[in-house]
Amino acid sequence: MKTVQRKICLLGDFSVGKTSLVRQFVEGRFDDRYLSTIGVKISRRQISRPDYLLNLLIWDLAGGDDYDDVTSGYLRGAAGILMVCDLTRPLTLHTLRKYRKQLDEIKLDPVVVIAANKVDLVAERAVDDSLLEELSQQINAPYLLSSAKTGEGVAAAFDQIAGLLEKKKS
Amino acid sequence: MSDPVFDQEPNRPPSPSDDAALWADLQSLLLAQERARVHELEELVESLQEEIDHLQKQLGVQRELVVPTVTNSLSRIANDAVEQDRRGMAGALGPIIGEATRIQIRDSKDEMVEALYPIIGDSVVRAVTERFREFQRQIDARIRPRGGVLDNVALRLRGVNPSDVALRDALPFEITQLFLIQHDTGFVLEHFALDSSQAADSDLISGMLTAIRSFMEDSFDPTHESDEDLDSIYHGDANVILQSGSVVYAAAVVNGTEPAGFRAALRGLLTDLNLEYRDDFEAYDGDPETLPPLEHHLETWVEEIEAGLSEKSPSTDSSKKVLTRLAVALMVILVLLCGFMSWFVWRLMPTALGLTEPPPTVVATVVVTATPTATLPPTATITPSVTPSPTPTVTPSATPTTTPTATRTPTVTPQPTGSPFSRINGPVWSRVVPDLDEPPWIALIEGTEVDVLIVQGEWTQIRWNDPIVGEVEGWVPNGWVDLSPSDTIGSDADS
Repeated sequence: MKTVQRKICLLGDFSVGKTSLVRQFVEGRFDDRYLSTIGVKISRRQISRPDYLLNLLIWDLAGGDDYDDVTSGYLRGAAGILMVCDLTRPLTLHTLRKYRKQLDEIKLDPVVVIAANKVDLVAERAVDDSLLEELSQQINAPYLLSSAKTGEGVAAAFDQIAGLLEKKKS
Repeated sequence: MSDPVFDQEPNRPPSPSDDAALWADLQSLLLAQERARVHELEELVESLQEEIDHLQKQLGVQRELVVPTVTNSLSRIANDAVEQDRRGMAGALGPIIGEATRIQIRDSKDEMVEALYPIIGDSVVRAVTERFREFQRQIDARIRPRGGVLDNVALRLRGVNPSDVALRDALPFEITQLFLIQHDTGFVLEHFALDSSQAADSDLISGMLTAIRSFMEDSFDPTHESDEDLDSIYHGDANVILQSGSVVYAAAVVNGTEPAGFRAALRGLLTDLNLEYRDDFEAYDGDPETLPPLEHHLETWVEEIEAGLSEKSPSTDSSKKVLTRLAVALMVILVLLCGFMSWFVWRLMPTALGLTEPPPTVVATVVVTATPTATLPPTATITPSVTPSPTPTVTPSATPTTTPTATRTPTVTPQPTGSPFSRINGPVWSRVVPDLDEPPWIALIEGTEVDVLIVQGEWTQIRWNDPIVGEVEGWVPNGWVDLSPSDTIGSDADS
């Protein structure tokens, strides 16, 4: 069975849970310190698809204004983007709009999925589904709810990306 | 209506005017339909001509509107053609573009230079830089010492620790991993590893290498004006040497000092691969089925490089051996020379110290030979063994002052009746002129056969055959020659 590689980038504001989201999902050999030094850490997740193995090389990009300048270089060649926002912080949704604009500026057209993270913090949730729907339409990407703590929606997010990649390819 | 033909009067012959009218009537009867058709067509032509004129006028007026439409259509058609058959289009347009470029360069050289400078300038700078680096490495390889004693001395003089250099030379050069990586994605297109266990994480490592390259570029050349790339990463003994191509780059993980020409060879590998597979590399999206067969490219290249190195190694070793042998031989020669000089000096030391006071043996010899000149056969003076025996006892009484009287004696009988030569009776320096203040010239050892030419005061001029310079003449103090009257060819002692 052949193995197909795809580059996936994680984008999202500082402390939305990107690194935590993939930590239990991926296998890797690099320390999280890479994120604060060169602004990226690469991990790998292999997904079985009906006809092949999909080797997702996940580029976890450091979020926040300090890293905006270096992010564009890391995005080159990305087939898929997992945009992560924090359900307890509405401002993190705005950051995703900014990233969408950045993708358009560098003429990158990857498949995009939104992971609305920290769904386990029910009491602190400040973003309702209507806001997510609106965001989804604005940046033309489906969304799902996830929790890095419980693992809810994490694998589903990557599966959705894989499915969209196949759909786009066909 | 009456018929002109049938209405004629009977028995009257028809006139010519009747024929013409009849013919005209006949024509109108037979061709009426065709004439009507011709007329219609003429009208149609006229109307069409009017329409054409009208359209031409319109076209002239609306040209500005028509041109963009046609241009867009042509552009779309050309784009479709290019998309469908890129290679075909490139092949078709290549010669035209080449010719056009040639003509443009001929006609507008300066404009073309200005237009191309940003591209060619960078390429030239890059090529020159690469060449200089290579040149540097070659110089380094040439001046690198080979480990001989003299080299070590030279290193010490330059303040370099030879053991450091030896350590550097001792480190074997080895390519442990070689990656071929797509620029943007960081995907590994091919990977070679000495240790197969290293292949497992090649995709992660290639990704991080790509990220680091990107990080360096964004950090130190944010405007991306420079064509420079990260070209080396050093980590202890392991170095990562990076060589960038247009679509892919190569990363070689090596141990030891890279040999001269290694980067050029890596560049050559990239160039070859790019020439052959550039389109495939560009189109690669992670699906291995779209990749060309690259399985053994890197492995073969590594084998060739290492084979090239191993061919060089024996010659280096043999040259080292030759140098070592030469050094040892030189040292042996130096030791022998020093030993000989020491022996020589040791032998001459007493003589040199006693030069101002000639040994009394000389005086005794003179005394002995002076007396019996008339009676003794000349052979008696030839046997030197006889003369030394009395010397110890006679020495104290003898004084240099008696010597002149003795030397005068032989001058009385100048005939060389005895042996044709004399002998030096001990090691002594000859001199060019008879003066002790003059520097010594050639050393004479005991027993050297000499011809006595002149005795002048306390000095004797002699001639002898030197093994090195041949027949020479020089002066020695009288006491160092077994002097007898028969040996003396001439004397100016009186003068």
